[in-house]
Amino acid sequence: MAAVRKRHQSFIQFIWHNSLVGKFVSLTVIVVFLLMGISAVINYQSQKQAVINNIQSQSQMLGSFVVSIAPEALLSYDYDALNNYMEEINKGEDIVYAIILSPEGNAMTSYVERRNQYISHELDKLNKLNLKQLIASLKQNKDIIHQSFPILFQDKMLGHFKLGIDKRRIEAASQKKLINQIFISSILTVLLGIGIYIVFRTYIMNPIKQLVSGAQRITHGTLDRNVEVISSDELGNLGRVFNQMMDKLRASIKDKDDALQTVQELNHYLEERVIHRTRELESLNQKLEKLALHDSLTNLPNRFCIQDRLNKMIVEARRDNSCFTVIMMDLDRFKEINDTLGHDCGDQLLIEIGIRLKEMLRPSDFIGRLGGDEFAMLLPDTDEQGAKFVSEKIHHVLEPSFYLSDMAFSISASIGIATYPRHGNSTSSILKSADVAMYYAKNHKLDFCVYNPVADFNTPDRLSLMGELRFAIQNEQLELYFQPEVELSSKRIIAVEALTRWNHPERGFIAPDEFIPMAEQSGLIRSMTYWVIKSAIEQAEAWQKMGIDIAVSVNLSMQNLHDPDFAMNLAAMLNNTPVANNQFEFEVTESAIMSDPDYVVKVLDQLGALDVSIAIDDFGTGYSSLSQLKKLPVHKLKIDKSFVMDMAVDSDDETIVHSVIDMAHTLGLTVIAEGVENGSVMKQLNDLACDYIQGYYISRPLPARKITPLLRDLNWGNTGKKPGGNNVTVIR
Amino acid sequence: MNRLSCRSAISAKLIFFIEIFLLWLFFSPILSSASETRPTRELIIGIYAPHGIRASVTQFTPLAEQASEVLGQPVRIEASPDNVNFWEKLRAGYYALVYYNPYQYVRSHHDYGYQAIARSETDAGGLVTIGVHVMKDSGIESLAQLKGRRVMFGGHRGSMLGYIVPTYLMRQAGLKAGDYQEAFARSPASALIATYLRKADAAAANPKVLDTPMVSDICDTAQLRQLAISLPLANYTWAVSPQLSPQWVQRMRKFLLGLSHSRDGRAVLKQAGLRDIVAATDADYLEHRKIIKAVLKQQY
Repeated sequence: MAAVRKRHQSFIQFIWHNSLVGKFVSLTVIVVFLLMGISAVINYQSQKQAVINNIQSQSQMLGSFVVSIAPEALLSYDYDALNNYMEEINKGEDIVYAIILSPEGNAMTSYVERRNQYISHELDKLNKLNLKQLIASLKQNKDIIHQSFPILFQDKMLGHFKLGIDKRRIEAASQKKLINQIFISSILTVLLGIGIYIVFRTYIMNPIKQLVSGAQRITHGTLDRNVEVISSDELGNLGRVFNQMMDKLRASIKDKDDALQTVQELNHYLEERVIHRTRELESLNQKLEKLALHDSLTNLPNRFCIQDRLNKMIVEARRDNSCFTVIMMDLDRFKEINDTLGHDCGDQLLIEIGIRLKEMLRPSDFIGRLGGDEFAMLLPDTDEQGAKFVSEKIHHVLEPSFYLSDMAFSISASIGIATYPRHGNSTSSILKSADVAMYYAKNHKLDFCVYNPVADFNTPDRLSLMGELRFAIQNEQLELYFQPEVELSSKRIIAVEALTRWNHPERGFIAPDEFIPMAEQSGLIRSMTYWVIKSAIEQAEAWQKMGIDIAVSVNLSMQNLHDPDFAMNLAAMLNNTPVANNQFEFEVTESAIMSDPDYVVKVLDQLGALDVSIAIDDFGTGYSSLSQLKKLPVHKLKIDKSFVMDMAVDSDDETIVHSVIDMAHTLGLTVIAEGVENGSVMKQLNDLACDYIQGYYISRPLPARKITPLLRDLNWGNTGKKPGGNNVTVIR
Repeated sequence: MNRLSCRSAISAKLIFFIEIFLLWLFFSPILSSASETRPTRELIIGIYAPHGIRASVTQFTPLAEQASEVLGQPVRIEASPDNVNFWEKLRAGYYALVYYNPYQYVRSHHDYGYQAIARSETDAGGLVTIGVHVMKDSGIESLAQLKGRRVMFGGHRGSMLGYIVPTYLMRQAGLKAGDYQEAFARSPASALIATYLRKADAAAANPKVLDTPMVSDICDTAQLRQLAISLPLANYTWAVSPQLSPQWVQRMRKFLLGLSHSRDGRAVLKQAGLRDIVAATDADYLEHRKIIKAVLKQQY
């Protein structure tokens, strides 16, 4: 039942909210129903009153009639007639009782309508019929209208005619009539509603639906047809205005569509342009990425790419608990080739080397160019032994000559090896380790070198030692040793080379090969050089005071040459000593000169202006060209001991030494050979017209107090005594 | 010859048939009356209507219809008060069957030869008694005490049970005409009501009337006292005209006595306000004649 009610409510709500005609018809029906209801109520009330009036009127007539005929029967004691009268009267459907009472109130007729509901009810309550009580009881009943008429005869009261009329039937009839009226009214109202609905639907809703349909078509963007105008009333006017609006809207939409098409075409064009530009950008990005990650010359991955790959390999190795190896390779004497044959040839050489190396490696290996003449190779799942094998293969593939500018060139390389995780567990640390190993190999003329923390200055121990070196320089813990240089023709000691020695209070004697590179790397070499120069000057002054006239040679590093104040400071130091400037000689390595020849030439010119002698140290290792030598303000060449030491057994070295001596003499330079360790070499040098010799064969470096006695007798040959003699341990 | 002989033969036959037709016309009434003395016109039932002609016609019309159906003869009801016209019709034998009170029967029997064939029984009983009633609080305890009092009779002076019989009781109690004041109500019931309403000192009525609604609804009958009562007497009588043949008398009697034996007959009786119609003869009215003689000084 609740669901039904609810469904009805929903239906009514739906009609009310969604149907104009439903709303209109509902309101009309409600109003009509209300009016008819009010009318029915009024009508009912008036009819009810009319019924009562009618009953009263009829009862009045009846009473008058009875009153007129009753006296005869009463006077003749014809109670039968009175009863007959009453019986006849009671035959009226609505008469409940009609009784004639005596003036004393006693009933004179007995007839009552026993079939009447109220009478039978009251009689049931009474044990015996008592008309007086019956009438008294019925007077309480509001459904019964009671009338009383006096019966008079010649002004004498004969009795009363009492009449009771049940108004229910008449009222029921009236109500039935009213219900019929309401029913008919309802039917009329429904018919009216239907009529209104039909009229409303035909003449109002249909045009409105047309408009709604048109509006919906507009909503859906369908403007293909106008709204059908079916009337000439206000709705018809609205339809025509609506159609005009649709026409304008259609035109507007057409303009919009045209504009939209233009915009779409423009968009399409722009999209194509964007796609084209995007492709260009992608291509450029790829190129840029390649440029960013690849070396444009060799087309090999560059440093960034190498570092990225190395990062990934570290992650993978860490994950797989595996190892890999980094090989760093630096070409020997590449600068000379570059300088001699030009950069194009150098570049071509690098390309060729890259190709050979790449072909040599496994597909899983990775090769890149770090910059300059440095290459790096990443060998996954390769240990130290495998890396050594690969290093040998590298040397093997580099053995065949390279043809540049129709000339054949041989090239060698220095290779450093570092393995993960043993020699570093990060990109920077493992690259540094490989770099350290590579420089170690280069410095020590090794084919390859596996990283050794001892040779690494950046280890904590090395860093500690560096600090101690600084302390040593400041506190003069260093000591100068001097190694004599002998003129072959006279066998006289003509100069000594000042060499720094460090006798550490705790670590003991520390070799120069260990702390000199450290000083160069840390920049301490500058202060150390100043300390050496100062000490050498002081020693030279001391020797001069002793009457020993001998030149003192001091080694300069590359950093000294790049010190813009060095020449000025040196001049100041030399000005403060009575020793002549030409008693001092400064040695500069060939590699230092070749690192930046133009700049070094300027510096050396400044030094030359101080009237000091300049020698090229370690000559033969720096690939300096003859034309460059001619430009340098040098006075002496010191042939690298690597050529001198084996020249007795190595004809190539002898040839090189010979060539160098000849070339130097041609340029007006004197030559000194380092590393003379035996007499045969000395004899060979003498035969080759070498000017000076230096080496353990003459004397190992000695402190001033030990070498001073030798210097008193400058003629080494005359003494026939070797300054260092066999007492000196040759250090290589 | 042949033609002549044929003509004569046809004429002879025609004459023969005419003679037969004339004989039938002559003898047919004789034959008819000889076979059954039936009324030549419709049967009329005369009804004495002391309470109004309309009521009587309404009561007895079904009986007439039933009679007409049973007897195969048209039967009609004519109700009439006790007046000259009524007695003239009785004298003329106008009514084939008449229904009236015992006094009227006795007179008509004596004067015109009417024969009682049946009598009615009502709810008041087959034979009816008449009592004299007074209010208990009137202090009257015997008929003799009615002397000088007002006695109410139901009906008129020709009413057998309403007036003649109670007067007979008064006479037997030693009261003569003029010893008490006579008053007449419409009926014994009205007389009782009038007495109850103190319009009279005594009322003559069948005691059974006290139980009728008309009386009991108005009166507290316990306050009435019966002073005397008559012997049981036959009341209204069905009598036939002396002109009616014995066969028809028999058919009439059979019809009346047979009403209570059928459903339709009982309905007719109910409509007529009767319980039954039983057989009666003139001998049943000897007591009535005696009473009439004593009261009215008339010998029938």
